Amino acid sequence: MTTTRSGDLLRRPRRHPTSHAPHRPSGILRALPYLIPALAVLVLFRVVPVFYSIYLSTNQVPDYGPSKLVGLTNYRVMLDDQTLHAALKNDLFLLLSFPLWIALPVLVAVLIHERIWGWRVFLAVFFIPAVLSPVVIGMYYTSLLSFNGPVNQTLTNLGLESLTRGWLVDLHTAFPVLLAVWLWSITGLGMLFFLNGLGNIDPAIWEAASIDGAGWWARMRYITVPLLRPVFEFWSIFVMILVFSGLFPLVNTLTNGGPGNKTMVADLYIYLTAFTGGRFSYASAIGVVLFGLVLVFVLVQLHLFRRGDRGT
Amino acid sequence: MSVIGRTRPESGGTGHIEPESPAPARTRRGGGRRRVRWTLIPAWFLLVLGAASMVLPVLFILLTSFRTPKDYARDPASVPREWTLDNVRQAWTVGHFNEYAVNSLWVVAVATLLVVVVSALAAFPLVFIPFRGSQAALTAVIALMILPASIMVVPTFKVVLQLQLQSTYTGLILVYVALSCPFGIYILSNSYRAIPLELMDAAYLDGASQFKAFVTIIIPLAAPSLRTLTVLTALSLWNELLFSLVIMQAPEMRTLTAGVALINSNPQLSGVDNTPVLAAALGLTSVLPFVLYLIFNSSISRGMTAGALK
Repeated sequence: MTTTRSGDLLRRPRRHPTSHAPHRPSGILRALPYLIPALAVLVLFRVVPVFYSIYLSTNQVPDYGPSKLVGLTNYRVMLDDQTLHAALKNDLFLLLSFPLWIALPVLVAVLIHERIWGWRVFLAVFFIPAVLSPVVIGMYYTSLLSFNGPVNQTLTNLGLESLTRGWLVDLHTAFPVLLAVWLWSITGLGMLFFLNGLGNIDPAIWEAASIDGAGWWARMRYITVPLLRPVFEFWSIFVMILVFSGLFPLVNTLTNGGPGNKTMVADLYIYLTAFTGGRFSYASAIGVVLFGLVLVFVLVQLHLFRRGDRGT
Repeated sequence: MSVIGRTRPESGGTGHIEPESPAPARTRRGGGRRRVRWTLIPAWFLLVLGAASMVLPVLFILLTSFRTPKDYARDPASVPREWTLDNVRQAWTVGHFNEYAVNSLWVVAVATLLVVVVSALAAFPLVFIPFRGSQAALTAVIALMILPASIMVVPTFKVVLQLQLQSTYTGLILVYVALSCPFGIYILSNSYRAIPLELMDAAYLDGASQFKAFVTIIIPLAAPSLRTLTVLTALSLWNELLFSLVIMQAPEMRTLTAGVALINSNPQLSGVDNTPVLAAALGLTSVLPFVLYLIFNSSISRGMTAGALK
């Protein structure tokens, strides 16, 4: 296909003087029947909730009887909510580990792309955590790291009994373990994105550079990394959204936020506030703020990247 | 740098999910590669370590779920000595995983089918029927794809309550369709875009109706994308926890993923060390993802990267 879509759309339908002139149907009325199923389900379960959450967050809605307007009370409560602050701080720390969540997938992807010995096996194996449910991953590491679990047992067998601990209930180790498990679980997916990006780079560019005498590091630094920029941008937005809204299944099964909120994260806190604490109104308010936060972050990141495009 | 950038600007292929496997190019590039090989040895060992840690869950589940709890308690890190099928049996009956499996299969099968049909329909006019607001509709689809539904779990749950669909298959299925179809519409519209408009013209010329042209021309040509979407949707919905927990609160309606997450709330299973039973439950939950992984490995990886936006 050489013609672009917009060109096709703008082109007028050709008129054939013979019978049956091809007529491309157009107009919203022709489009609507195809759109209605998607429209119905998306409006009902994706768009309405966004607006409904604003209503829920400013009203006390009892199970029976009329709801009562509470205004911005819920939003004010958030300012002093230590657990919420802990959750946001932990989310931020996960984001700040970006040297790790960028370097690890890139490293794996580059090595596989270089066809390191056994790359086919690595490609298949690094992909496993992306297929397993985060719930399975969380439960698996819970068993592995439990007090009588295999990790402590191995340490004992090696004579390192002093290192054994309840990894997921220890105030000092809980968050680092969560970070490690989280990195472990997303590296394979990141690798896929970067491999895809590497596959889109014309090998002739590397060839030309190495003929010019550029070594491996120079090619990496001046060719591979700059050309992978769209993938870096995509991956950082992806991880940002994941951190604020996709950690629930992993953390819920791993630590459920404990010990002492050391591993509390935002979406888990919304769930616990609403469905364990029964404070639906307050949970909605947190949801509204978080939704706004993610929206702003995405827009800012897109804007930064767009500006970067113009810069080069 | 910009000179190099221009030789192959903005290499496409983010959207299209047919071509380009993530496997690296076959040709090896010369120049300095011998030197690189030696420096790569430490990196290779790191990769082996990482890969071992990723095979370990599979081994753990396979080995632990078939050993007796006593044998596991003796030394969890050792090779099993006493084998048994009891853990699987326990998880299946006492843990109610037989019911959960039926729930999961039913919900995921119906929801996946609906996602594919609804997305295939909705992407069609976005690409083939010029109408006012089509660009805005596509933008809305992308926005819905990016903006997380999980943050909106409370109001979504309230909507489900209002419709009296809590703890029903219909409720969870509809929510799942709403979760997954923005991604479906996005990748299918990208794949439709590779189909020449002239094919549609030819069909119209033959007197085919619009819907007939859609079914007989677009659907067969988009079949690979539809298959990828099916596998990917089934996988992600099978693994979904949050909405399943929230909407299916009646114990007999739980899905497998929720059943595993709540396994410790079953007093009959939370013995002194229930890890072998838990491992069996994890294994039961992971059978389908693993089978999909073994069969559709490359189409899953292609589909996962197809959502990558510019």
